[in-house]
Amino acid sequence: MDFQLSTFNFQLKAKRGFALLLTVTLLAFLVVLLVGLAAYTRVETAVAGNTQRQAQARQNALLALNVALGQLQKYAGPDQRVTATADAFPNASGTKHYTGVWDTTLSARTTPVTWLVSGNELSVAGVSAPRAVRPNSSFTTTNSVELVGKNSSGTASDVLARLMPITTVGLPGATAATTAIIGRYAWWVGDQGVKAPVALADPTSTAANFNYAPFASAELLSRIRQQISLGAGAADSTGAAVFEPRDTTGTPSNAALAANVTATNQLAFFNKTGGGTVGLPTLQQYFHTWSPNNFAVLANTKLGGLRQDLSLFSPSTTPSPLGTAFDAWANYNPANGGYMEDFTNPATPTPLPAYSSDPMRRRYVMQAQVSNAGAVHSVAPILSYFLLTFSICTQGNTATVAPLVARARWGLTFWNPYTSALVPENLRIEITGLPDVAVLDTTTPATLLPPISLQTIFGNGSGAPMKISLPWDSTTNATPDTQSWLPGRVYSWSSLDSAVAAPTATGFGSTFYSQNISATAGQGAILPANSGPVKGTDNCQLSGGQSTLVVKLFAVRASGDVPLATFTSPQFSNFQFASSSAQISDYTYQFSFVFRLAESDNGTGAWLTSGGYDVRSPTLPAAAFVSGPNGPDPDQYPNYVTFSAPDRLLDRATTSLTYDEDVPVFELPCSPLLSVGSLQHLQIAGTRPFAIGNSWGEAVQLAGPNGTFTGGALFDQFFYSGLAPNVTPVPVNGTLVLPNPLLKPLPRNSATGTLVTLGNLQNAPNQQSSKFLLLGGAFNLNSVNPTAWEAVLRSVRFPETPGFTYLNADPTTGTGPDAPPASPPIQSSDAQFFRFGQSAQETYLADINTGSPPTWLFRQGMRTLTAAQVSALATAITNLIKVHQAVSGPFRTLEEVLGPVSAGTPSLIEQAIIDTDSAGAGINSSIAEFSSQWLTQGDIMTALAPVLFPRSDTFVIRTYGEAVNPTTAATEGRAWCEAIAQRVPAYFDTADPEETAPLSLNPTNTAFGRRFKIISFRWLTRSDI
Amino acid sequence: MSKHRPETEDQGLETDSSCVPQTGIAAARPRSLVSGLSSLVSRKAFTLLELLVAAAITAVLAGFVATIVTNVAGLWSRTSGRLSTEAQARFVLDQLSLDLSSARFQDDGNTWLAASILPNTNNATGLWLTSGTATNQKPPNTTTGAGASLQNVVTGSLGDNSATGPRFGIAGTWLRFFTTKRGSNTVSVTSNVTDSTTVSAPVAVGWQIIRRRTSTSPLSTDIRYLLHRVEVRPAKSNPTATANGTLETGYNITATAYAPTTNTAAAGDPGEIKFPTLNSVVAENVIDFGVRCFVRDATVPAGLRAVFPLTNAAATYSARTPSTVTNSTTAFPDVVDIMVRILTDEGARLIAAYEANPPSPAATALPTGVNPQQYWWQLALANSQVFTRRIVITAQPL
Repeated sequence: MDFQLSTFNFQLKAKRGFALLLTVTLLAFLVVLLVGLAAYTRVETAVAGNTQRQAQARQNALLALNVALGQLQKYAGPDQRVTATADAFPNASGTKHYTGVWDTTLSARTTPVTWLVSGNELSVAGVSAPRAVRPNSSFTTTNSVELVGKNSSGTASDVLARLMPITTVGLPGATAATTAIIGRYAWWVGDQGVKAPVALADPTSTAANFNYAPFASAELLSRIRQQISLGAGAADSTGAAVFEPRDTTGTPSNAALAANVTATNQLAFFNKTGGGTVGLPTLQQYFHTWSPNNFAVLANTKLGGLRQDLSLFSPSTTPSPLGTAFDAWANYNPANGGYMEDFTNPATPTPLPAYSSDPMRRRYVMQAQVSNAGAVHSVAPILSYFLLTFSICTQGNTATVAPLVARARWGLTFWNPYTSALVPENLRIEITGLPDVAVLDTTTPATLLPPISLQTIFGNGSGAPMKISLPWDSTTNATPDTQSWLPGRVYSWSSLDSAVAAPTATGFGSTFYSQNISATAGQGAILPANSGPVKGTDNCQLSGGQSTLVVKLFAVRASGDVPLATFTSPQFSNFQFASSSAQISDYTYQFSFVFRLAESDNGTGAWLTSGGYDVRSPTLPAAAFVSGPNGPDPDQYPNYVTFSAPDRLLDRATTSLTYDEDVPVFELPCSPLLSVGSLQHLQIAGTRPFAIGNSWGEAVQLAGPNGTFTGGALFDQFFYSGLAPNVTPVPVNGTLVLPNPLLKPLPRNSATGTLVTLGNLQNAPNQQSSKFLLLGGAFNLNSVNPTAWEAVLRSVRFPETPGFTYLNADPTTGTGPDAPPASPPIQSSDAQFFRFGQSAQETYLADINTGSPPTWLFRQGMRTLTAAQVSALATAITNLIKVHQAVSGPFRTLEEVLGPVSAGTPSLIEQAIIDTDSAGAGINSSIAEFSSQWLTQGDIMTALAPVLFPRSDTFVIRTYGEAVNPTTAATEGRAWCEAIAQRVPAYFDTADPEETAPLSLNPTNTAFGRRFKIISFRWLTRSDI
Repeated sequence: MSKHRPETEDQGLETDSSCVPQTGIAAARPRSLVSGLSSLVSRKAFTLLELLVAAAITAVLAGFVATIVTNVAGLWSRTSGRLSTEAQARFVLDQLSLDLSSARFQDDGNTWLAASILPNTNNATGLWLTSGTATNQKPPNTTTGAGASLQNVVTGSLGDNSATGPRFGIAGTWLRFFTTKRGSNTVSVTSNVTDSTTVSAPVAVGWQIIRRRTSTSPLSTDIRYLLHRVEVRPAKSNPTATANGTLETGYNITATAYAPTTNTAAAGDPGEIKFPTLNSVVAENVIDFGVRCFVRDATVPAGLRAVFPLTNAAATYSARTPSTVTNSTTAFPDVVDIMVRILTDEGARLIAAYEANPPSPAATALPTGVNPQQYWWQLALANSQVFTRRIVITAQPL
């Protein structure tokens, strides 16, 4: 019972607490539920808050992007601006990659109008106002932010930008006037143009991408690749290739990848030379050196406005502003009345082998001189050797008194200085200036006979010019090389074996393909001397005064002889046989007039180096020639029969078919020109050859649309698209690939929004097709990055041994194989520069030897630089650019780059070549000057003129935004973004069409210039910085 | 403890002798026992009134508690559901914002962005499951009225959560374009080899909804509406790999490589744009995904001209011309509005149950005048939220 009661009591107690327990439990459950929900909500709210602050940071980064774009537009939009990095200026840590903008309408100066980095957007406008942020500004960790760091370039704090506050007023809890920081931003504009564009696809690699006349064969298409840069080749600091974007091996190949590359980081996926992929570490290493591609507006930084397309001019419809001589030179195409032979209707003799459809192996018709606006055009062989020897005697060795006769025989060589064949024609020369000869019969008693006027005697008895016919006989010697006047080849004529007493209408006859003037008798011409009579056994003494011969060359044509050139001999001295008179009846040729074309080692006669004339000049002065080996005295050449001078360049055995003695020097256009640098082959009046593109071209004054142009200014004013008349590109996959494939037609006509057509380009107003074009592969020559320059210098390269053929006298093929191509073989890291960009194949092979003369150096139309040489040259170039920038600021025009640094000094690139040689790199040492192996600035510009600009039009913008808690000042959100901004031909205000001249722009466009577009954008993470 | 218990107990008796049964010495006293029992009996008895009052109070208290619990549970459910959908939406919209604001375009004739309103369930992929009760699943476009899955996409507001709000086909919009991956740029410390899949580089991305199992296991019965974000790898993982990436495949998003006819695509392959794998799921219970594209045009009100969608009909939009081209229907968008409708967890449960076989509720239990497909939308509208965002595309083609 006790137990029961006790139990009962216990149960009663338990039941009494149950409700309370239940209630408490339920309440606890509810509390837990509510607390849990509150916590959950709080977490979600915090997440949402973070997201909001992150969004705010992103908006601040976008704000910075807009500010940066505005600054870029304001300062770099106009044409007359150039850009450079701060590397050559006093700079501090994290600032050397700042981009400065200079106004080319101002005098040269080191201070830019602005540095494109945050902090300067609030500076007072005006070119002389100090910028708030300069490269020598120093930063702290609190007032700057890193925009390029270890994950971008491998270097921490590589680019620092000043943090700019974003403030507001009227925050809750603060007075209305209290300013609070709610965020910060920073931005930096990086110059992409100073980086080498290393991932360009090569559309000329396959006919599938490029197939239209005159490039509609693999051979012809391949020749585009040697004429101009098709994109830089990535190289390391030693000049060795890192990867080759044109490499077609691998799956996919680099060539295939290059066609799809749109962003820098994609370079990491390229196959590296030697195996593996490029990878991010390598890419970071070259962050400031490589870009996938850069585009440039074809504008003139000196005068403003767009460049004109020289390809679009036509002599018949739209003559170029450079004059008729230039037009005549450029108009090679027979379809347009040009001077290249029409392969469908070749002249006799027809070439052997017969013409194929290969238009680059055509012949050219000799042309008379056209001189206009500073340029000269003529196509003619050049007198390379002249021997005219005379004999005054009686006929027969008898003691009988007889009248004197004058005999003459001659040997002449003419040289085709071009890399192309000429159409053979019958020629003739006219010689004037022959002296009078006094004849003193020294037999006692001494008698002075009537003077003999050689000019009268051989001038048809009237003192007219002595005419000598130079027939082209392709039948007597029916060798292949008599079917065409082969490139660089010297041909000979000698006087006929049988002497004649009277010339034909074209003059005294000559034997073609002959160097024989040693016939014992009767050779050449024999005419009465109108002096004497005298015994043949008498000793006579001949004497004559100083003389200068003038030799005029004519092409003999049915329609009338065409004057081709005039050559003036060196002055010949008095001659007299004072002590060695001989019987007058001897068949002795007592005196001779001998001279030859001067060569590069002939002092002031070195026409290729320092002479003030061009050897192609239609009126070649005496300074272009030198006397024979015995001097200018004619009596030093009795019985002189030496026809050749094996130690000279312009000499060859008459009957030899070898190409070993061919010396081509100049190129005639044979396909659409693609580079203003090709104008180095244009003949300029009054100056030595290769003026355009070299420093001495700065003294040239060519007529232009707005006055005259120096040789260098042409590079700023003009460009070549290759869209010459009759060149009609066919779109491939909807894309129009121009003969210069780096030119990217803009997809749309900015005025109409319609697709840009070939017709738009061809009919562009004022031949400014540049309004529809951007130039890919562009490079800012103010870059001071030697590795970037290395890559650009390697723009023309052959990753594999080029399989050139060369012109040969093979009657079957006309060509010979390429064995060996070069010694040592071309390496993938080598850079090539073509003097003969269009015709190197016809002259390329040269049997390497070390003998003299070094004719093979002239036939190698391509100069190869090794990796070490490229590296040394790039270093020399950037060193000189740095010096220039430190003193005068960046180069403002191409003219400034190409001209002499100061009067009489070399230009920048010329000095760089000299410096490189001085450093032992051996670029031009031991090479005959002005052979095609002698590297010139003009050669470099032939390849690089299309891609070199003194400014950039492609920029990378990196910005940073952060959200700041106005109460705690803590940073609560960060964001980075990156955009690529590209300047395009359209003006900021499209009311002005692209071709509007600077002075006609409306105020908006005067201030802001051409429009910048953001062509790509991405958000960055910390791992991208 | 036992040693002291008698004391405690004693103390207890002394403390409350009137209501605690007595034991021990006190129990030995008969009077006290009777008196105690009597007292006990009298205290254990309740009057009817007491019982009624007690019952009433208990009922009231229980009612309060039940109400509170119900409300709290409901609040929890709604809040957690809302937070859950918002979290998903935030992730989806943020990711879409990043993708679209970094979209890449070139005026090269290629289609750089394409959007297709999918009127059918399968996008020709065969991945869309129709298992369950056929009539109870997301309605086809051919159904008119409130049950239709494609209506009013041109004029309706994207934020409209009403029964006539915008809908984008059964499978929403299949959006694909090129953007730049936000990569981690990972390089092996030991081998110095770049992990190409982590490089921040242009990639093709595709977004689409598929009703499918949440697991690749054939035993899985959990079928959900899954939103996929496919990202094609930037490039081959290494030179010898066979699977291409974006760089190798190129930039025509409508090319066969990105829309193959058969499903052989692995994660990261170009073909995954059309045939997403489960690896690419970014959100579940997303029952609609809409995109509207605009170009800037000063001649129209608000300065934005719609380029997609242009009609209520299903359509595919291929962006391949610049927005500056007048009245082009293939213009690259300057501005994109995006919309996602996401079921709450409860909504997902209800929809799943309704689509199951047998369905719950059964067809016979549906409200009068409401057909099964309209009821699907009623369930969806009541248990889902619409999230929208306007995204400005920064880059322009040349």
